[in-house]
Amino acid sequence: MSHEPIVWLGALVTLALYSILYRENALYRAAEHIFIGLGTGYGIYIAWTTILYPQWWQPMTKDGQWWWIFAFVAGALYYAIYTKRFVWMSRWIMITMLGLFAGMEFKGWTGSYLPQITASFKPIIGPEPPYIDFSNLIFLITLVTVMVYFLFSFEHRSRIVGRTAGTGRWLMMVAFGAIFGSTVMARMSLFITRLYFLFHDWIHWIPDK
Amino acid sequence: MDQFADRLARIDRRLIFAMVALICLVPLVTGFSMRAIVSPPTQKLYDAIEKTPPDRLVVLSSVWDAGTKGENEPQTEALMAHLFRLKRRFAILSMGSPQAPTLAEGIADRVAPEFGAKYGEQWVNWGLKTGGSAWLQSLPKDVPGALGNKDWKAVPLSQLPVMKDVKTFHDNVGLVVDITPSGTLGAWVAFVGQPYQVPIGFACTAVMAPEAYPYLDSGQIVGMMTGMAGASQYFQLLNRKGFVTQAMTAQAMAHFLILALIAVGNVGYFAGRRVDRQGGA
Repeated sequence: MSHEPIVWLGALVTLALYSILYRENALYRAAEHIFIGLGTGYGIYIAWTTILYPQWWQPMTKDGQWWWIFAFVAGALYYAIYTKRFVWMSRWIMITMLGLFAGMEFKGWTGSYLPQITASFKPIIGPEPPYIDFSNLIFLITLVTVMVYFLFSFEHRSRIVGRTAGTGRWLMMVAFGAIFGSTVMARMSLFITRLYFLFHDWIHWIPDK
Repeated sequence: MDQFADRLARIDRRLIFAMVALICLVPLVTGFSMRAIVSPPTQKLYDAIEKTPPDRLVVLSSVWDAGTKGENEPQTEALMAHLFRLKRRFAILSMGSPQAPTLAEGIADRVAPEFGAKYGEQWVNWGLKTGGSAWLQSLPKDVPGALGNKDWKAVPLSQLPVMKDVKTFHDNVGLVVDITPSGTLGAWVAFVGQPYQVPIGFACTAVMAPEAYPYLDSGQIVGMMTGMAGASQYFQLLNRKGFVTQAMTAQAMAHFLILALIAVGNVGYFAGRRVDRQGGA
């Protein structure tokens, strides 16, 4: 077994967190709150030491760049939301930031998705090997049927539209299944890593690789 | 028969958890491992790093924290080992995740001695940066300016040989790999990859992979490493041994168990339904 206190602490907290698998209990709650508190505290420390202090406080107080005070004023405007009298001030900063980020999102959207729309025009008969054509055909069917499913401007009364939309729904179910499978895989990876920590670092049952 | 069906459909979840834990432990304790089959997206990412020009910097955007260590840590280790082996310069950048610079630097410190690499010569940590998309748009145009001319421990960039002549992404950066459990890929593609013609690679948690395939399909990303499975494949490409190889075997066995349990649960469900029908008739 490990002789390092930090490993023991990590192991005991890991076991406390996994105790939820048996039943809800106070140990689990305590470990959960400690984790959240530590994460938040560490985040504040890193934010101050690597961002706020060197990039804002130091230039403002030591390098004579007094105009950085306006960053504080702008940030403080958010907190005006807590007073009825000054709530209008918080809206100024919010609408400014909303406008700024909406513009950036629009730019980001075109940069991200327009190339994907272009790439969705795939040949189903072309110079590629037949399995690529077949793959492109499945892609095309999925694209069209799922798009038909999301046509909400009219009711899907027509048999053709209804069945096409139904096929789209089934194909989306396949995609959701794949996503759920990936989620299980991701969670299992995290669990195995913790098992490795417990049985390798803590009680030394697993030999070194 | 009805009792048997009922038991199958009502296996205590705690028993299932214990079975999963036990089956995962077997390969970890015995050292039994199965060979990973390298997927095309992982191979593409490996090839992209191989092809990176030696005079250009690689940026590892490390945005993960302790919550996804199991997946993102082996990915980061694999990428760093590859870059150290090829003697490519790289920078660690963490946007919005306070734990990320420390975790990524810990891996670099652990792997670097194997290759005789030194901080400041072959790699640099740019540290935590906030400001999201707005800051990211300023970075490619003026790298030292956006970083405040310092690394994350306030060492001037001019004192670090790894940052020599690094001015813009277009001229000096050969590849960006986004190692992440969150949705940062879109920003890299839109604000860096497309406008500055910098290839983007992606190393994500398994949950994120299905959403990233359209980027791979359209050529917006040059390759992708998916979760622990991708890391295990990358380790195999590097011919590198590590915990992740056994971990993937453990995961495969857990998946077999889950499939078997799904089958058992369904047998119990349908048998119970049949008994109910016969009882009703």
